[in-house]
Amino acid sequence: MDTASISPLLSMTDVTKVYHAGGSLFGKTGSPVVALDHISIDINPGEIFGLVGESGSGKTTASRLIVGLENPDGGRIQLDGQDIVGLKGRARLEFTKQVQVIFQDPYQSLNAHFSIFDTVCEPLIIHGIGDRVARRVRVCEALETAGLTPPETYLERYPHQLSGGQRQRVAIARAMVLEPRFLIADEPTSMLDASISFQIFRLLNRLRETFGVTMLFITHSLAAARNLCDRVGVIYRGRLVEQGTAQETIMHPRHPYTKALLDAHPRFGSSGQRRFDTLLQTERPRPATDHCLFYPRCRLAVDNTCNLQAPKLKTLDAGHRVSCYLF
Amino acid sequence: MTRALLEVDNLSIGYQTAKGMAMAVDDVSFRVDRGGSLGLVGESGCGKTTIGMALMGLLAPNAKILSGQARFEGEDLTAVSDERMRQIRWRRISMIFQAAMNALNPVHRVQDQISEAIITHEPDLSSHAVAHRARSLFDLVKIPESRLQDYPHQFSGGMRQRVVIAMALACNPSLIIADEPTTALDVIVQNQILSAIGTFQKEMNLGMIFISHDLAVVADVCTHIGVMYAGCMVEYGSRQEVLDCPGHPYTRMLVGSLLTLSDQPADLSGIFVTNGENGVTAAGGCPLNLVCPDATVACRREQAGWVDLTDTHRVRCPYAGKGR
Repeated sequence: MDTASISPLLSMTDVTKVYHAGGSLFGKTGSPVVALDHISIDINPGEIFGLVGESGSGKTTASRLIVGLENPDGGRIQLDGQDIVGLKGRARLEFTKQVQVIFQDPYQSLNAHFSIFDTVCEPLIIHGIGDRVARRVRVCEALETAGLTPPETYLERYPHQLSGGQRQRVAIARAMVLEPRFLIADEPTSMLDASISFQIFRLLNRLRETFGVTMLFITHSLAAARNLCDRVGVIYRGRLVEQGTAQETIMHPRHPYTKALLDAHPRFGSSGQRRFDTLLQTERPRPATDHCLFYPRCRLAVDNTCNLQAPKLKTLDAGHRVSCYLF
Repeated sequence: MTRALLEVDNLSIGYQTAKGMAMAVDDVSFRVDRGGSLGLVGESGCGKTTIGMALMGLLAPNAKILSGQARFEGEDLTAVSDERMRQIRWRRISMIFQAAMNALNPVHRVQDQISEAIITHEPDLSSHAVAHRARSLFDLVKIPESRLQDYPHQFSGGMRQRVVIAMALACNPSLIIADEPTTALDVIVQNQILSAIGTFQKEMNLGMIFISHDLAVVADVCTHIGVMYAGCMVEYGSRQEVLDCPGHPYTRMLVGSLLTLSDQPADLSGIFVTNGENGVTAAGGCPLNLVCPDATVACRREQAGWVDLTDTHRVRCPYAGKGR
C-alpha cells in the first residue's frame, strides 16, 4: 500500500509528555519522568496500528493524550488535519463522538451501579442522540455488534453478573454505540483468558471490516499485534524504536529491543526456531549523558557510540523505520 | 515404571453453597514424576486452582473433597491430619501464588523474610547455615547476593516474583505448585521467570504442577499437559502429543487460538468458541455439548469416558482423533 498518498486520520507529531514526580516526605523532589519523547505516528484511515512495548514504556500515556485526558508538553496531535489539543466546549464534544476508548480492565472500567443498558446508553444521552425508543434500538444494535446476543437478555443485567469476556464486550459496545471513526483499544485482553482474548481479537477485526473503524491497538504482545495489526510501532521508554508493517517488523525485526521482545515470546511450533539473544543478563550502568535508551540492556551496543548520543529514527525501506546505530 | 511423586486418582471437590453443592473439580486423575512437570490449562473457574489448594491443604472452609485420593510420596493427602499437613506444606510441597510479588512485607529486608521462612520450618539450623541457604536461593533465581539487604520496594515486579519463588524453594520441597506465576508480568520478565523456574526445576529435580490459562506458557515449561474444562479434565498427554495432535475439540480450540509469530497470521474467523460461562450446563452431559461443533445426542445425555489415543495420551471425547 502506498502510504504516502493517503492523508492520515490521526497523526502525532513530535509529541512529548513529561511527568513530574511530586516531592514526598521521603522522596527527592520533582525529578522529571519522560513518558513520551518526541513520538511521531501517523495512522491511516481503516488501518489497525499496534503500539507495542512493556509496561511503563508510555503506551497508555499516548492513548490518554489522544483522547485529551491529558495535554502533551510538546508536539501536536491531529485528527483529520484538525488540532485536538486543548479543544473546548462544542468542538470537544464533537471530537469525543469520533474517538472512543476500550480500557484494559473490564472489571474496573464499567460502573457497577449501572445496568448494561445504562452503561451503553450513556454516551447517547451525553451527545443528545435519539429519543428513548431510538436509543434502545441503538443500544441493542451495539450489543449485538459486540457479540452479546440476544441483546435484550443483557439490558437489565449488571456488570457483576457477567464474565470478564462479556464485560469487555459491553465496553466495546459502549465504545461503538456512537459509531466512532477512531477507536483506541488499550490492552483490551490482558485481563482475559487466552481463549477469550482470541474472541475479542476477532471481534475487533470484524469491527474494522464492517464499520471501517480505524484503530490504535495497544499491547505488550508482539504475537497479538502480528495477528491483528497492519502496522506496528515498538516503543521503549517513551521513544519509538521501530516502526513498520506487522509482517516486516515481526518477520524481519531490526532493533535489538524488538528482537528481545520476540525472544521472550513463549515458543512452540513454527515460532520456536529463531533466537536473537540481544538482551544482556546483567545491565550496564546507565550513562550520564544522552544515550540510546536501550544501551544498558543491549548486547549489540557499541561503546563510544550508543552511550554518547541517542540514535535518530531512520527510514530503511518501504516505510520500515528504526532508531539504532547498527542500521 | 518409576514410582510417581504424586498420583491423583478420581479427585472430586465441591463447594457448599446456598444452592447446594457446586462441583469445582470432577473426577480428575493425573500423576507427576520427580523431575517432571504437568501443566494444568483451562479458563478461569475451571477448577485448576482448587486442585492446587487441595494438594496444599488450603481449601476454603466450604469446600469439601468428595471422593478420590492424592498419594504424595506414599501418603494420601486427602486423608492426613491437619498436624501432618502442616509438616508437609512448604517443606515437601510448596506453592507459588498468582501475583505473589505483592505478598512481601514492605518493612522488612528481603533477607530477613527468606530467613524467617527457613527458620520457621527448620528451627534447628544455625544462623550461619540459614544465611548460606538464603544466598544460594538467591543464586538459584539469579538475583545478585548484594540485593539480599534490600527492601521489596527496591526490586522490580519480576525480581519480587523471583524472591517469592526463592521463598517457596526455601525448605527444599520435592513438589512445587506454580499457580499462574507470570500473569500480570511483561513478556520479557515472564520469559525470565519461566526460564528461572525451568532451571531450578531441573537442578533440584523437582516435580512441578504449573497452573495457567495460557497454553503458550505451559507449552514452554511443561513435559505433560492436562486440559481442564468446567471441573473436568478433558485431555491429558505429553506436551508433544497434546500440542501436535490435540484430540479434544476444546483442546483443538485452545491450540487454534494460540497466537504465534509465524509467517502467516492466524485466521481470525472460524473456530468455535466457548461462551465464557463456566459451570455445569446439563446434568450428566458433556460440559461442552452446547458449544462443541461435534456434539451429538449422546454428548448431551452423558459425558464420555476416557479414550486412549496412545499409552500416554488420553482424551475424554468419543470422537477424538476421528474426522475434522
